[in-house]
Amino acid sequence: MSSTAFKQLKKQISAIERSSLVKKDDVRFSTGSDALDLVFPAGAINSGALLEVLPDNYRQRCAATGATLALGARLLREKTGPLIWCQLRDPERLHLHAPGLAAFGIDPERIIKLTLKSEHDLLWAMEEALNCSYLSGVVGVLWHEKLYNFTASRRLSLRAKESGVSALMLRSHRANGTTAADMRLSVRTRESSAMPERAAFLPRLGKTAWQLDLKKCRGANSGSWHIGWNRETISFDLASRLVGGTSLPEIPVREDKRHIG
Amino acid sequence: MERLYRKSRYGKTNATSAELTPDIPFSLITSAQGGIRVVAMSHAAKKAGVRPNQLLPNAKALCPIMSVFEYDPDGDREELHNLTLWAIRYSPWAASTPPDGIMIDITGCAHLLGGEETLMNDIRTRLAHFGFSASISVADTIGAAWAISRYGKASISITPPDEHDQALKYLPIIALRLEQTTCDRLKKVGLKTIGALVNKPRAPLAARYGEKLTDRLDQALGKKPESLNPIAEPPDYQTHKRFVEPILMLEQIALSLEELAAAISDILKDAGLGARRFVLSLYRIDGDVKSLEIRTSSLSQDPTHITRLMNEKLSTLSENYDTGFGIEQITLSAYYTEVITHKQVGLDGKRESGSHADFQALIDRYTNRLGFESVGKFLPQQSHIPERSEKLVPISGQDERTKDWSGFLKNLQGDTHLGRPILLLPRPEPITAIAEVPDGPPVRFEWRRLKYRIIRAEGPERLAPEWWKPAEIAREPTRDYFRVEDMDGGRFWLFRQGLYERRETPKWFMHGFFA
Repeated sequence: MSSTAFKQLKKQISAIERSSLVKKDDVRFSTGSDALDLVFPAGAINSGALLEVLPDNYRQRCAATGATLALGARLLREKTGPLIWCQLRDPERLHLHAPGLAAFGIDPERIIKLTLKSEHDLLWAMEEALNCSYLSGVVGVLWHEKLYNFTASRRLSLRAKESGVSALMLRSHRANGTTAADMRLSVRTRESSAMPERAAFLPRLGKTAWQLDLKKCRGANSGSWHIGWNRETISFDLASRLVGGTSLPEIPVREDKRHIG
Repeated sequence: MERLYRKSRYGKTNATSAELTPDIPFSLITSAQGGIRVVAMSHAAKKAGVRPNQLLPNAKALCPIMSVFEYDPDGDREELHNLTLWAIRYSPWAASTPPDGIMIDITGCAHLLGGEETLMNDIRTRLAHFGFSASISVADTIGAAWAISRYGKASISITPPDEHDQALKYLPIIALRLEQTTCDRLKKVGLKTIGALVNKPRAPLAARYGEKLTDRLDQALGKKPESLNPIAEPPDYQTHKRFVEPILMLEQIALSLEELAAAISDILKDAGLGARRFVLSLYRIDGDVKSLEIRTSSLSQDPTHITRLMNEKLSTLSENYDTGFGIEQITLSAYYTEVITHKQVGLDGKRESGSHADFQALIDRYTNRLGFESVGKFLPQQSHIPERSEKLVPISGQDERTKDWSGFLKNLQGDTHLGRPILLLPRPEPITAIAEVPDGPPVRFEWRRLKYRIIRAEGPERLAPEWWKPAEIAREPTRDYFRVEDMDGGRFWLFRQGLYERRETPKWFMHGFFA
């Protein structure tokens, strides 16, 4: 190959790379907790990135789903568009419960749920969604992955960067192999903080809490935090600050045996 | 009004094997009164003296070498239906008139194809290629076209507007689409041709032979209106492209599609309309018609959007579609058009990126590729029973009702916070649970062969089935829901079905999961 042609090619490649790595400094989203935000180099999580959420083990899938939804709820605060939730068609699988989402702090009205036949369709749907900057975010649920690899994740990551829409990928705890994700979180449930109860035989449930492990994030050190989710303020709480006497009192739940219907 | 009438003469459609020509004696038979009778026969058999409605043994005696086939009216009807779909290429207003005819309303269409005569010759040649012989006539009324094509002398004819009386005069009365019995009764009094009826007083005719006779007569002569039921919904707008050489590659179709999309979009834009449904029809040279349909959630007139959605359909089609000897014509039709209200564009003339329109386009791509039911949205339902309190409905452009979820929750839980899990099992799964006190929450349970020990619990929240619902729902036992947490912090939503005080045997179920 002649040197001019070689130069030409190099120029083209660098042009492609530059356009894909344009940093949009203004797009990022906060976790709602100042302490947690400071972990990230930009002082918040970068929007327009591919974030992977993995459960710590098989039994933590619901926790991982919850953490993904919590991130989704934060994303929904940033924009007016809906959140696209992509999952595979599996009649035996757990499905999102809309009243539960509402109780979690997400307006079910703003969730569009895609039920897909194959992983191929799911990756296509996510990629298409990432082209549309109107959306607040895109979530993919892949408990079994065959096609999702470095190339597939790189495609999603580049699309996300271009449009500034964040992609959340919920993967299996067994997932391995290199992917181009910008951030990877591992989630485990934490026992909810004690709510002393005199009369009851078993104590009540406290706030939702997880142990989040930051496994990968460009420019940030990995770490592990005990994080709570506040459904009223729709924000993460660094729970360690709240344990003990400083714990915000939860609104007491009035349990009345109501006969409905 | 001009009607074009086309008739496939024989029920020969299912005898497609190559050896069968009109020169080979064969006939179609069916069981009828008194035994097996001949329904239709080939030219050679006709020459030998075989006639319709003849008993098979008699026919066999006349023509011993004749082969027979079962008459298949359903197959005929289906073939006729397909042919009618094919005929839509000439005019969107086509209908089949079983058993053997096709009507096409060519009003305003003939000039596009080079006049009525060229049109008829085109139909005839193409049908001949398919292996059908047809007699075709163009006339002002449905009745006249029907009569002349079947009973006229020429196999191809155009009846000018002022010559209908003349053309119908010498045709037999059966050409008026009447029952055989009426015709027989008229024959008895010496009325054999339509011409004999025209000048007779109407009232006595109607009184004696029924109003149908006079109606049919008036319809044929154009004195009474008659309408045609088109086989497929006629599109609001249509563009087409004919290929000089049949096209074998679907990629080439994609190129022409762009032209058609641009053309139809120009038409729509001029009219200030947008359409919700587009259909691309591929006419194969052997008469096969393939239609691809796209629907858009909002009114659309953007050619790139239409082309993009259509191309996705085309690419899925290419996997299992055989172009055969080639595609000779494609049409793009627009349905469900409505006046479009133009969106305000930015001052720089560019569309705001990340607009709602982009989102609509995305939803269109999803619904067209993945299917309507794959793209869902949650809708609150009036029920307290968790699995019936929500519904995933297909998203649609027209339905922009706001769903009041916060109102729904308020209604559900009043001022208190009632936890609802984020994930629900498709149906509750039985678990084995041990409770400290009969009415209390369980202390340990086993689900899917894993043991859980509970350290926190809330509840019960009692949900009774709606008594006003049908019996199978209303008779479901009452459920007591508990929110529990195990030692690892996993949170579950369990319920006990059945109440001790009602002497029911309570059973425990796993139903949902909290984050």
